[in-house]
Amino acid sequence: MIRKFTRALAIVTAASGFAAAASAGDWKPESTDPIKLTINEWTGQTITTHIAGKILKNMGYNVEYVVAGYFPQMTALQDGSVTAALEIWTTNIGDAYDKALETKNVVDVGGLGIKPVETWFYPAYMEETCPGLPDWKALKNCAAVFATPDTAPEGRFLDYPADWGTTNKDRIKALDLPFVAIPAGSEGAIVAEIKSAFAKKTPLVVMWYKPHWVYGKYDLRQVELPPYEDGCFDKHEVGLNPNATYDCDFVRGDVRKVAWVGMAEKWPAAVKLISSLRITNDEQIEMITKIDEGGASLDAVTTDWLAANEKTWKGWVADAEK
Amino acid sequence: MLEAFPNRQSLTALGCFGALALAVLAVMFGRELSWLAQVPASFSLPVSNWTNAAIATFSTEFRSLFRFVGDALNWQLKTLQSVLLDIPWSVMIVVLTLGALRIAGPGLAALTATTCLYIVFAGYWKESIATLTLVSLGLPLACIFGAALGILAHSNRYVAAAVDAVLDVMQTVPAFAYLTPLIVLFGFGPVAGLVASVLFALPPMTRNVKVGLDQTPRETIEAAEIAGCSRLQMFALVRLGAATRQILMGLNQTIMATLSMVIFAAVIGGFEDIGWEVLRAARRAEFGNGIIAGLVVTLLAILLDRVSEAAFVRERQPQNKLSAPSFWGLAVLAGGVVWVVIAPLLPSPAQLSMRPYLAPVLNDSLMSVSVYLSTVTATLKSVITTYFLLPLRIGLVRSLTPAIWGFEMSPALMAIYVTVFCGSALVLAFRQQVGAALGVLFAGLLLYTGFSGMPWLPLIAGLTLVGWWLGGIRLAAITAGGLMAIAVSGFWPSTMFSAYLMAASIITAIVLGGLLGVLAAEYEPVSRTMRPVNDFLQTIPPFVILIPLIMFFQVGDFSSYLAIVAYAIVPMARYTEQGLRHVPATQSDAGHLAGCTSLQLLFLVKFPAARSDIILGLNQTIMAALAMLAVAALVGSRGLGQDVYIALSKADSGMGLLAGLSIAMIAMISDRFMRRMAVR
Repeated sequence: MIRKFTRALAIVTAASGFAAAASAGDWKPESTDPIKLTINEWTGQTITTHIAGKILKNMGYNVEYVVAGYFPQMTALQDGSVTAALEIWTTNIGDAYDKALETKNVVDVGGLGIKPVETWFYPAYMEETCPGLPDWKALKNCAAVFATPDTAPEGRFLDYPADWGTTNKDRIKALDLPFVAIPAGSEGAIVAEIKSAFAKKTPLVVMWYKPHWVYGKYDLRQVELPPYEDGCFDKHEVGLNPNATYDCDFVRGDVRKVAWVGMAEKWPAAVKLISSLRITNDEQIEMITKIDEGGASLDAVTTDWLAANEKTWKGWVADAEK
Repeated sequence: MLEAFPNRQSLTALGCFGALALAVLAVMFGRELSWLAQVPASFSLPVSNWTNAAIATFSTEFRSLFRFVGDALNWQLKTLQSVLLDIPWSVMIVVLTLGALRIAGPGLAALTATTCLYIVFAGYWKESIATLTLVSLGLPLACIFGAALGILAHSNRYVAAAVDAVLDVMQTVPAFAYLTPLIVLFGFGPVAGLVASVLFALPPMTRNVKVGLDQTPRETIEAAEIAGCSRLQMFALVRLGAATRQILMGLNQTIMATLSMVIFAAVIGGFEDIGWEVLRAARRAEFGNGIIAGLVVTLLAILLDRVSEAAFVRERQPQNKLSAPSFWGLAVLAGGVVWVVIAPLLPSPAQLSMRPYLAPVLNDSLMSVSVYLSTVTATLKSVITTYFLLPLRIGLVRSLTPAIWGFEMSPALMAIYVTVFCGSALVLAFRQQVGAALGVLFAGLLLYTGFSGMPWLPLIAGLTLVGWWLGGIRLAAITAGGLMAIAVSGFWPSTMFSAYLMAASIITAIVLGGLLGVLAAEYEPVSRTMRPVNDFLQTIPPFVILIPLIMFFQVGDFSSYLAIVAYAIVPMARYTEQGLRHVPATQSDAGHLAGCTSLQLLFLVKFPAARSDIILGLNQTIMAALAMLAVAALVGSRGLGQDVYIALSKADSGMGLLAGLSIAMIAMISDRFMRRMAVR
């Protein structure tokens, strides 16, 4: 029964795909083997992937969503066990991204359009207890406010998990701040800290990134660090402190899309489509909020996006099918 | 004097004293003798590169073979899963409940029904089926390979020693350390996780099969020989028969281990099981969803544990009225009727999910409690960190500062400190308690430098000597070789950090767990309340408790410490209680007659009598604490646990494997030390 229904659905989908294709000429997918897109644990990634999946289905491809761990998927991509991963944040993938590209079995298929900001953040209420924020210099006199038993007399700075790669130890030293960087163990650990800090109004200054769903719920503000200059990370003379590196803000990160190298041979048009796929910070935050805060379903939210942006993605499809 | 001192003992004492003196020198002249205090940079070898090269060669050579196995397993997984998913939930409940009724009686049948209904209303039906699929495929594999290894170990003493070491490695290397190589070999997906689960779950089977076979009573074997059994008959009918009970115990532990590892292995992805849901909730710090999913695991574990236990207890009881075929026929019939008549009328499990209403309530309550208790939690954290954790980690030399303790380590204070420790060591030495004297000196030094400042070379030398004294040249070689290997691989600082965290947690777990065990043995109500709490702590996926820990105590050593204690306290409490309960009545009666107070009775009669149980508990506590290292790193501890994750993000399997092996090395050395001490 169910199988029959699925088949009927498949025929309908295929037919509509055909209809769409018919308008652009007689275009047919190169292979109907399933394109496997990875689904990671966070909402934004799921949204991005479902949007891509729906467009690919519309072109007539078979799409399968496969849940995958963020790091394990980089291994899975190397032999085509999964076909593509659409949200790789250079801010938290560590070396796994470079290593995967080095194997030549994984290729980068362009940026997603999301521009992550990663830097230091603090809860808005800290402006009362540490006057002078958001200017970073204010932190110089606030160490006592942020101190905890294991860091006293210095302030506690909650850093990225060690496996994401972090330069804050050097930065704190270069900016001569009386703080100790405490590495958080995981994404969940930082989120739990943010949640509980706001509930208890406890002091917090944390290394974090944007866009992220926490900003929809909590008033986290950016510390204004000395602006980034080229060379600041490896030349002493560049930046604020003439004797140190990392004496400036972070480089803005990027969100990349990657695919198994064989995808381009097997589904060339699908690769083209994926590389055109763009989503902006604002669009993604809006959709994340609708799902996580508003309780809307993933399907409804992504369908809405497709309806609202039909011209855009139809353009990508036309390009891909050329 | 000389007769009182066996040669080896006095040599060890002398050697240890020398090592201590060296350590003091290294601490005093840290700059001049830096090679003695810290592992020199030139000392480390590119071991992780070698390991990576070895992994690469191995995987290219054998890849197709492993892929073939992987594909076959994957096909079985998918088929079994789709069959199980096709059965409506109502039918599943009826059949499982009837099965439990037959195998384990009405009490467990009720538990089965409750568990199933909980899963339906929690909205995790599909995910739980996926998890059960993994368990039901992994379990037979673990049993078959485990039993085969056990029989092999039974056959030969040298094989047994090798198998023992391999099992230790399997049980203590965190799964995160070898997931990536497994994905490369078996392909991405649930199969890699399944293999990890089998590797982790087979040791208890092997150990129990071996013990069971080894312990066949002499008379039984002789009787069989007289009866003219062939070798094969002797093995299959006599030895295996006699070992049944022990083997069933192994089965029970294997089931639990499979379930717990299936949850960990979900980090790979590819199967949408309960483990994946737990991880998703943990990543978003959603306590509500996390605990609801975690309780599914707890309930399943308790259910499987009790049913498998009951299955072999009931085996020997009088048979039910219905014969087996007619009972199972009826059960299938009942299932069929439900399928046709009732199932179509019931809503799907997804529609019945109460989670959307329940999870936010749980989230909010946790938040309110953490706010309400914030002064208490802050004080607790501050006291324990300042007076216990910091001295252990960085030593009094760096924690005794005005900012932390309110006063400084002045020269006068230092003089008093040295006098107290050296004085008590001298007193002990005069009383011929040389071991205790050395222990006091070591404690004094450790408290002064902390684990992070402990000079490495003297420490390795001292431990090797103690190993030699306890277990001869072999244990000395294992100790020296193992610790040197860690140092050469560049993991010494991480290892010392982990050692500090372990020491703090284990001391706490021993004191608190021992206390709880004593209370439980003396007072029945305590015992009854503790059993479900212990079950909960042992079976709940640890990721779930990490969230409330951070909400209460923030990221840092203290939260990691609590996470480890929560897990390691259980074996200590359990084994202490069990040991004290089994003290023969004649012994405690004799104590009563001799006029012991109840405390005297406890310390002078019961503890010595329960010694072997308590030492086993101690050993299990150490193993549990080590197993939690990798999990505790998720709330921000540094050390070996963190290294495993860093390796994962660097896609450096060699480094991950080596960090994991370092953990296994500590486990093995401490285990062998404990065993030898137990013998003495």
